[in-house]
Amino acid sequence: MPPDLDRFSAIRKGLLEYLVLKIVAGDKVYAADILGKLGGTEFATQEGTLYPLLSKLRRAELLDYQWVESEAGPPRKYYRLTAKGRSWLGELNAYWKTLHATVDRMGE
Amino acid sequence: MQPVIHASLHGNAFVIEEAGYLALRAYLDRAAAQLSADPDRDEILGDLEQAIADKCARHLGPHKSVVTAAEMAQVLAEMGPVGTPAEVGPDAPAAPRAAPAAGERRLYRVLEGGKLAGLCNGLGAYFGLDANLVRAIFVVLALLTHGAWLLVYLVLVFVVPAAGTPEERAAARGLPFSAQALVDEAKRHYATLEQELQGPWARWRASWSSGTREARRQAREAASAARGAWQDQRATWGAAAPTAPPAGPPPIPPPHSSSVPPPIPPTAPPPSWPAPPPVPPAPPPARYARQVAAALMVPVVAFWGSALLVAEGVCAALLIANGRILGWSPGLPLWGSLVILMLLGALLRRPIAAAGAALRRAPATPLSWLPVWEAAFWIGFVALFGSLAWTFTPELRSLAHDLPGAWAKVLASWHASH
Repeated sequence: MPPDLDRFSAIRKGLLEYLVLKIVAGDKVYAADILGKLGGTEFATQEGTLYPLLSKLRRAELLDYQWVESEAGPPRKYYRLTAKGRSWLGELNAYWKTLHATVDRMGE
Repeated sequence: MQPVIHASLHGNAFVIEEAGYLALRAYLDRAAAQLSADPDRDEILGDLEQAIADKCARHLGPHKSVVTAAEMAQVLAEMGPVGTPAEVGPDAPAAPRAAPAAGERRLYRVLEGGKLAGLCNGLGAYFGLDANLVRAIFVVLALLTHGAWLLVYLVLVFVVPAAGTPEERAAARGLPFSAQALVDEAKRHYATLEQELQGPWARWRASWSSGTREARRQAREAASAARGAWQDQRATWGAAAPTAPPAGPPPIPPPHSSSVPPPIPPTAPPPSWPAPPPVPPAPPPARYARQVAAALMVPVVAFWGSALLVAEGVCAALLIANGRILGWSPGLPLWGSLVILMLLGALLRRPIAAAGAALRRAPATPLSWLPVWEAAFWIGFVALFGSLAWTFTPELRSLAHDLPGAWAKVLASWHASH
C-alpha cells in the first residue's frame, strides 16, 4: 500500500461491513473463510477486527450463526444472512452503485 | 532451556514458553479492555481464543509440544489488534478502556529499594507509608525495648515472603497486575534510561521542547476532533440518501449546506451503514498545564521542607547545649527528647514529602528536569535558612565545633537513665 493511499483507510474500514455481508450472502461460511476471501485484497483483515464486527452484525440481526460439528477439532460457528440482512444488503448494493456512478460522473 | 506454562485456550490445553504466555496474556487483557463496553465481550474473547488455539496448533506436531515465544508473537501478529474500526453504527457504543481494578494488597518483603530484608519497605507499601518512617519506627521500638524488637523483625523476615514475581511486587503495592502494565513499565524505564544517558542540560532541553510539542499536539487534536465531529454529523445526514426510493432522478450527493436531515422512510431503517466513524476520544487532560503547575509548586514545597529541616537541626542543637528549647524543657532524658524530636520532624515532613512525590507524579509524562529544579530549590533554601541559623544560633556553632562532645552528652544521658 503506497503511503499516500493510507489516508483512505477510513474508506476501506467503512466498506468492510458491506464486504463481509456480501461474503456471508454467497454461502454459509465460517470466520476463516471470510478472512481467506478478504486476504490478498485491499481489505485484508485480521481476527482481532473481524470477530467484534461479526458480533456486532449479529446483534443488529443482519446475520446469524449455527454451531456445526467438525471432524477435526471443536465445533465451528457457521454464519449466514438473516432475512433482514439480505434486504439490507440489497439496499447497500443499490447505494454502492449510486456512489460509484456519482464518483465516476464527478468532474465530467 | 525455557520455563513453560500450561494454559487453556477456549478449552484447548497448550504448553507455551513463559515469554510467549506473557505476550498472550497481554494480548487478551488488552482485548478484554477494548471490548469492555461490548455486550458480547465474553463470546468474542472465546472466539479469539479459539482462533489463537487453531493458529498455535499449526505450530505443533508429533515431536513438538511447546509453542515458543517467537511462534506466539507471530500468531498474535496474525491476529491483529482487537478493535472495532467498523463499529461505527449510532447504536454501537465507543469502547472505552476499562479502568484497571484495584488489585488486592498483600504483605510482602519488597527487596527492590529495601535496606536489609525489604521488610520495612514492604510494610510501608502495604500501609501506604514512607518506608523511611517505618524504618524510624522500627529503630525507635528496638531502642525502647532494649533490642527485643529486633527479634520481632527477625521473625517477620522469616514469616513474610519476599515478593519474587512481578505479580507479587504489584500485589505488595495493591496495584492491578497485567502483563501489559509490565510491558508499559519496561518501556517507561527504557525511556528514562535513555534520558539518563544524556547530560542534564540536554535532558532539560528535550523535555522542555517535548512539553511544548505536546501542547501543540493537544491543540491540533482538539481542533481535528471538532472537525471530525462536524464531518461525522454531515455523514449521518448523508446516510439517509440510499434509502430514498430508487426511482426518479439520479440521487443527489449528500447535501452540503442543508441542516435538516432528509426524511427516513418508515421501512426498516438502515442499522448502521454508512454511519459516521467514531468521534475521536477527547484529548487527554492538559498535561502541559499540569507540568507548569508542578514546576511552580516545587519552590513552595522546598521552602517549607528545608525550613522544617533547619528548624529541626536548631532544636537539636538547643537541646544538646541547654537541655531546653527556648526556655521550654521537655522533662525527659536528652536522648529521649532527641528521638521524639526526630520522630516529630519525620511526621511534620511527611506531608511535604508526600506533596513532593505528588508533584513528581502529577504529569503523566515523567519530567526528567523536575528533580534538578527541585534539588536547586532545596539546596538554595537549606543554604539560606542554614546560614541564618548559623548566624543567630551560637548553640549550632558550638555543636558543629564539638560533635564528639555532643555525642558523649547523649550517651551519658542514655546511661544515666538505665
